[in-house]
Amino acid sequence: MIVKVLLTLWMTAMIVAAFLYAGAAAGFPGQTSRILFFHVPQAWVATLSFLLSMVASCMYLARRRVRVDYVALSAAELGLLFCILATATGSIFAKATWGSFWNWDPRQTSIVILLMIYGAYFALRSAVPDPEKRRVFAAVYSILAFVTVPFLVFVVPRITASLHPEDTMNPANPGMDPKTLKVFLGSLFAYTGLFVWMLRLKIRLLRLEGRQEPEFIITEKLRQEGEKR
Amino acid sequence: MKEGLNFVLGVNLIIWFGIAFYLFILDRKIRKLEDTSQDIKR
Repeated sequence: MIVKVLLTLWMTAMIVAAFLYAGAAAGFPGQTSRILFFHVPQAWVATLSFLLSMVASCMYLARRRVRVDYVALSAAELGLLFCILATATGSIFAKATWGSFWNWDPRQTSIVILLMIYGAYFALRSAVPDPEKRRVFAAVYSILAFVTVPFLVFVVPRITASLHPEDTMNPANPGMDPKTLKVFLGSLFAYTGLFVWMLRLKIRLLRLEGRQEPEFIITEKLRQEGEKR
Repeated sequence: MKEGLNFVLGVNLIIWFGIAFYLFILDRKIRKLEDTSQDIKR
Protein backbone atom coordinates (compact mmCIF):
# COMPACT_ATOMS: atom_id res chain seq x y z
CA MET A 1 0.00 0.00 0.00
CA ILE A 2 2.81 2.42 0.95
CA VAL A 3 4.60 1.67 -2.33
CA LYS A 4 1.43 2.47 -4.29
CA VAL A 5 0.90 5.77 -2.42
CA LEU A 6 4.56 6.67 -3.01
CA LEU A 7 4.21 5.84 -6.70
CA THR A 8 1.09 8.05 -6.92
CA LEU A 9 2.99 10.93 -5.31
CA TRP A 10 6.06 10.31 -7.51
CA MET A 11 3.97 10.40 -10.70
CA THR A 12 2.25 13.60 -9.47
CA ALA A 13 5.65 15.18 -8.83
CA MET A 14 6.84 14.15 -12.30
CA ILE A 15 3.78 15.69 -13.98
CA VAL A 16 4.31 18.97 -12.09
CA ALA A 17 8.07 18.89 -12.85
CA ALA A 18 7.43 18.19 -16.53
CA PHE A 19 5.51 21.48 -16.79
CA LEU A 20 7.10 23.73 -14.18
CA TYR A 21 10.67 22.52 -13.54
CA ALA A 22 12.03 21.41 -16.93
CA GLY A 23 12.31 24.02 -19.65
CA ALA A 24 11.04 23.74 -23.20
CA ALA A 25 13.72 22.41 -25.58
CA ALA A 26 15.07 24.62 -28.33
CA GLY A 27 14.21 23.70 -31.91
CA PHE A 28 10.61 22.74 -31.18
CA PRO A 29 7.58 25.01 -31.60
CA GLY A 30 6.30 26.44 -28.31
CA GLN A 31 6.07 23.96 -25.46
CA THR A 32 5.67 20.84 -27.64
CA SER A 33 8.96 19.27 -26.50
CA ARG A 34 7.38 18.55 -23.09
CA ILE A 35 5.61 15.59 -24.68
CA LEU A 36 8.95 13.80 -24.28
CA PHE A 37 8.15 13.18 -20.58
CA PHE A 38 4.98 11.25 -21.46
CA HIS A 39 5.31 9.88 -24.99
CA VAL A 40 8.76 8.24 -24.68
CA PRO A 41 8.03 6.47 -21.33
CA GLN A 42 4.77 5.14 -22.86
CA ALA A 43 6.69 3.74 -25.84
CA TRP A 44 9.32 2.31 -23.45
CA VAL A 45 6.66 0.58 -21.31
CA ALA A 46 4.98 -0.82 -24.46
CA THR A 47 8.28 -2.36 -25.61
CA LEU A 48 8.97 -3.68 -22.10
CA SER A 49 5.49 -5.27 -21.97
CA PHE A 50 5.92 -7.01 -25.31
CA LEU A 51 9.32 -8.31 -24.17
CA LEU A 52 7.82 -9.61 -20.93
CA SER A 53 4.96 -11.25 -22.84
CA MET A 54 7.49 -13.02 -25.07
CA VAL A 55 9.61 -14.21 -22.10
CA ALA A 56 6.49 -15.47 -20.25
CA SER A 57 5.33 -17.23 -23.44
CA CYS A 58 8.69 -19.04 -23.72
CA MET A 59 8.36 -20.06 -20.06
CA TYR A 60 4.80 -21.27 -20.64
CA LEU A 61 5.88 -23.48 -23.55
CA ALA A 62 8.67 -24.91 -21.39
CA ARG A 63 6.68 -25.51 -18.16
CA ARG A 64 2.97 -25.32 -19.12
CA ARG A 65 1.99 -23.33 -16.00
CA VAL A 66 -1.28 -21.40 -16.34
CA ARG A 67 0.02 -18.61 -14.09
CA VAL A 68 2.80 -17.88 -16.57
CA ASP A 69 0.21 -17.60 -19.34
CA TYR A 70 -1.60 -15.00 -17.20
CA VAL A 71 1.62 -12.95 -17.14
CA ALA A 72 1.99 -13.25 -20.94
CA LEU A 73 -1.62 -12.20 -21.54
CA SER A 74 -1.54 -9.32 -19.05
CA ALA A 75 1.75 -8.00 -20.44
CA ALA A 76 0.44 -8.16 -24.03
CA GLU A 77 -2.74 -6.29 -23.01
CA LEU A 78 -0.80 -3.54 -21.25
CA GLY A 79 1.67 -3.40 -24.14
CA LEU A 80 -1.18 -2.75 -26.52
CA LEU A 81 -2.68 -0.12 -24.18
CA PHE A 82 0.60 1.80 -23.83
CA CYS A 83 1.25 1.43 -27.57
CA ILE A 84 -2.14 3.08 -28.26
CA LEU A 85 -1.29 5.86 -25.77
CA ALA A 86 2.11 6.41 -27.43
CA THR A 87 0.40 6.57 -30.84
CA ALA A 88 -2.18 9.08 -29.57
CA THR A 89 0.38 11.35 -27.86
CA GLY A 90 2.69 11.10 -30.89
CA SER A 91 -0.19 12.09 -33.10
CA ILE A 92 -0.90 15.20 -30.98
CA PHE A 93 2.79 16.13 -31.31
CA ALA A 94 2.56 15.56 -35.09
CA LYS A 95 -0.38 17.97 -35.31
CA ALA A 96 1.51 20.68 -33.41
CA THR A 97 4.81 20.30 -35.28
CA TRP A 98 4.11 18.77 -38.69
CA GLY A 99 0.65 20.22 -39.27
CA SER A 100 -1.54 17.12 -39.27
CA PHE A 101 -2.37 14.31 -36.87
CA TRP A 102 -1.35 11.58 -39.32
CA ASN A 103 1.39 11.76 -41.98
CA TRP A 104 2.24 8.09 -42.63
CA ASP A 105 5.72 8.83 -41.36
CA PRO A 106 7.86 5.63 -41.00
CA ARG A 107 7.43 5.82 -37.18
CA GLN A 108 3.67 6.14 -37.46
CA THR A 109 3.43 3.38 -40.07
CA SER A 110 5.58 0.98 -38.05
CA ILE A 111 3.55 1.59 -34.87
CA VAL A 112 0.30 0.90 -36.76
CA ILE A 113 1.76 -2.42 -38.00
CA LEU A 114 2.78 -3.21 -34.42
CA LEU A 115 -0.73 -2.43 -33.16
CA MET A 116 -2.22 -4.74 -35.80
CA ILE A 117 0.23 -7.56 -34.97
CA TYR A 118 -0.67 -7.42 -31.26
CA GLY A 119 -4.35 -6.89 -32.05
CA ALA A 120 -4.22 -10.20 -33.90
CA TYR A 121 -2.84 -11.83 -30.72
CA PHE A 122 -6.17 -11.13 -28.96
CA ALA A 123 -8.16 -12.19 -32.04
CA LEU A 124 -6.27 -15.49 -31.95
CA ARG A 125 -6.93 -15.97 -28.23
CA SER A 126 -10.64 -15.37 -28.64
CA ALA A 127 -10.87 -17.67 -31.70
CA VAL A 128 -9.63 -20.87 -30.00
CA PRO A 129 -12.21 -22.38 -27.62
CA ASP A 130 -9.98 -25.05 -26.03
CA PRO A 131 -8.06 -23.36 -23.15
CA GLU A 132 -4.91 -25.51 -23.45
CA LYS A 133 -4.67 -25.06 -27.23
CA ARG A 134 -5.45 -21.33 -26.84
CA ARG A 135 -2.56 -20.89 -24.43
CA VAL A 136 -0.09 -22.79 -26.64
CA PHE A 137 -1.11 -20.97 -29.85
CA ALA A 138 -0.99 -17.60 -28.07
CA ALA A 139 2.46 -18.35 -26.63
CA VAL A 140 3.87 -19.32 -30.04
CA TYR A 141 2.26 -16.25 -31.63
CA SER A 142 3.59 -13.92 -28.91
CA ILE A 143 7.15 -15.16 -29.52
CA LEU A 144 6.79 -14.68 -33.29
CA ALA A 145 5.16 -11.26 -32.78
CA PHE A 146 8.06 -10.05 -30.65
CA VAL A 147 10.54 -10.86 -33.44
CA THR A 148 9.03 -7.90 -35.33
CA VAL A 149 9.31 -5.46 -32.36
CA PRO A 150 13.04 -4.58 -32.60
CA PHE A 151 12.66 -4.29 -36.37
CA LEU A 152 9.58 -2.03 -36.24
CA VAL A 153 10.63 0.06 -33.22
CA PHE A 154 14.39 0.45 -33.77
CA VAL A 155 15.37 -0.55 -37.32
CA VAL A 156 12.67 0.83 -39.67
CA PRO A 157 12.73 4.44 -38.34
CA ARG A 158 16.54 4.49 -38.67
CA ILE A 159 16.86 3.18 -42.21
CA THR A 160 14.19 5.49 -43.63
CA ALA A 161 13.93 9.28 -43.68
CA SER A 162 11.60 10.37 -40.86
CA LEU A 163 10.18 13.61 -39.49
CA HIS A 164 10.39 12.12 -35.98
CA PRO A 165 12.92 13.89 -33.69
CA GLU A 166 16.22 12.11 -33.07
CA ASP A 167 16.35 9.53 -30.32
CA THR A 168 16.69 11.01 -26.89
CA MET A 169 18.76 8.15 -25.54
CA ASN A 170 21.19 8.16 -28.46
CA PRO A 171 24.70 8.16 -26.87
CA ALA A 172 26.12 9.73 -30.03
CA ASN A 173 23.91 12.78 -29.49
CA PRO A 174 24.02 13.57 -25.74
CA GLY A 175 22.45 17.01 -25.87
CA MET A 176 19.77 16.83 -23.17
CA ASP A 177 19.58 19.61 -20.63
CA PRO A 178 20.34 18.27 -17.05
CA LYS A 179 16.91 19.37 -15.72
CA THR A 180 15.15 17.74 -18.68
CA LEU A 181 17.20 14.56 -18.22
CA LYS A 182 16.27 14.38 -14.50
CA VAL A 183 12.54 14.72 -15.21
CA PHE A 184 12.76 12.34 -18.17
CA LEU A 185 14.45 9.58 -16.14
CA GLY A 186 12.05 10.18 -13.24
CA SER A 187 9.13 9.85 -15.62
CA LEU A 188 10.55 6.62 -17.10
CA PHE A 189 10.77 5.24 -13.55
CA ALA A 190 7.22 6.40 -12.69
CA TYR A 191 5.74 4.83 -15.84
CA THR A 192 7.61 1.56 -15.18
CA GLY A 193 6.19 1.54 -11.64
CA LEU A 194 2.70 2.21 -12.97
CA PHE A 195 3.15 -0.67 -15.43
CA VAL A 196 4.15 -3.07 -12.62
CA TRP A 197 1.13 -1.99 -10.54
CA MET A 198 -1.29 -2.46 -13.46
CA LEU A 199 0.34 -5.77 -14.44
CA ARG A 200 -0.05 -7.20 -10.93
CA LEU A 201 -3.72 -6.11 -10.82
CA LYS A 202 -4.43 -7.75 -14.17
CA ILE A 203 -2.69 -11.01 -13.20
CA ARG A 204 -4.67 -11.18 -9.93
CA LEU A 205 -7.88 -10.53 -11.86
CA LEU A 206 -7.09 -13.31 -14.36
CA ARG A 207 -6.28 -15.67 -11.48
CA LEU A 208 -9.69 -14.94 -9.93
CA GLU A 209 -11.43 -15.48 -13.26
CA GLY A 210 -9.45 -18.69 -13.75
CA ARG A 211 -10.91 -20.05 -10.51
CA GLN A 212 -14.37 -19.88 -12.09
CA GLU A 213 -13.36 -22.01 -15.09
CA PRO A 214 -14.56 -25.66 -15.18
CA GLU A 215 -10.98 -26.83 -15.77
CA PHE A 216 -9.85 -25.34 -12.42
CA ILE A 217 -12.94 -26.53 -10.49
CA ILE A 218 -12.47 -30.14 -11.70
CA THR A 219 -8.75 -30.09 -10.83
CA GLU A 220 -9.52 -28.63 -7.37
CA LYS A 221 -12.21 -31.28 -6.69
CA LEU A 222 -9.88 -34.09 -7.75
CA ARG A 223 -7.17 -32.66 -5.49
CA GLN A 224 -9.56 -32.39 -2.53
CA GLU A 225 -10.80 -35.96 -3.07
CA GLY A 226 -7.19 -37.14 -3.21
CA GLU A 227 -6.51 -35.37 0.11
CA LYS A 228 -9.55 -37.06 1.78
CA ARG A 229 -8.30 -40.52 0.78
CA MET B 1 1.73 30.94 -22.67
CA LYS B 2 2.18 30.32 -18.94
CA GLU B 3 -1.62 30.26 -18.48
CA GLY B 4 -1.97 27.66 -21.23
CA LEU B 5 0.76 25.58 -19.63
CA ASN B 6 -0.95 25.71 -16.22
CA PHE B 7 -4.21 24.62 -17.85
CA VAL B 8 -2.56 21.57 -19.50
CA LEU B 9 -0.82 20.76 -16.20
CA GLY B 10 -4.19 20.89 -14.41
CA VAL B 11 -5.83 18.62 -16.97
CA ASN B 12 -2.92 16.18 -16.72
CA LEU B 13 -3.15 16.10 -12.94
CA ILE B 14 -6.92 15.54 -12.99
CA ILE B 15 -6.51 12.63 -15.46
CA TRP B 16 -3.69 11.12 -13.37
CA PHE B 17 -5.65 11.39 -10.10
CA GLY B 18 -8.62 9.76 -11.85
CA ILE B 19 -6.45 6.86 -13.00
CA ALA B 20 -4.80 6.48 -9.57
CA PHE B 21 -8.18 6.57 -7.80
CA TYR B 22 -9.55 3.92 -10.19
CA LEU B 23 -6.50 1.70 -9.60
CA PHE B 24 -6.83 1.98 -5.81
CA ILE B 25 -10.53 1.08 -5.97
CA LEU B 26 -9.81 -1.83 -8.32
CA ASP B 27 -7.04 -3.05 -6.01
CA ARG B 28 -9.42 -3.02 -3.05
CA LYS B 29 -12.18 -4.82 -4.95
CA ILE B 30 -9.80 -7.53 -6.17
CA ARG B 31 -8.48 -8.01 -2.61
CA LYS B 32 -12.03 -8.45 -1.32
CA LEU B 33 -12.78 -11.02 -4.05
CA GLU B 34 -9.54 -12.85 -3.25
CA ASP B 35 -10.47 -12.97 0.44
CA THR B 36 -13.99 -14.29 -0.40
CA SER B 37 -12.48 -16.88 -2.72
CA GLN B 38 -10.07 -18.01 0.04
CA ASP B 39 -12.99 -18.36 2.51
CA ILE B 40 -14.93 -20.56 0.05
CA LYS B 41 -11.84 -22.74 -0.47
CA ARG B 42 -11.52 -23.23 3.31
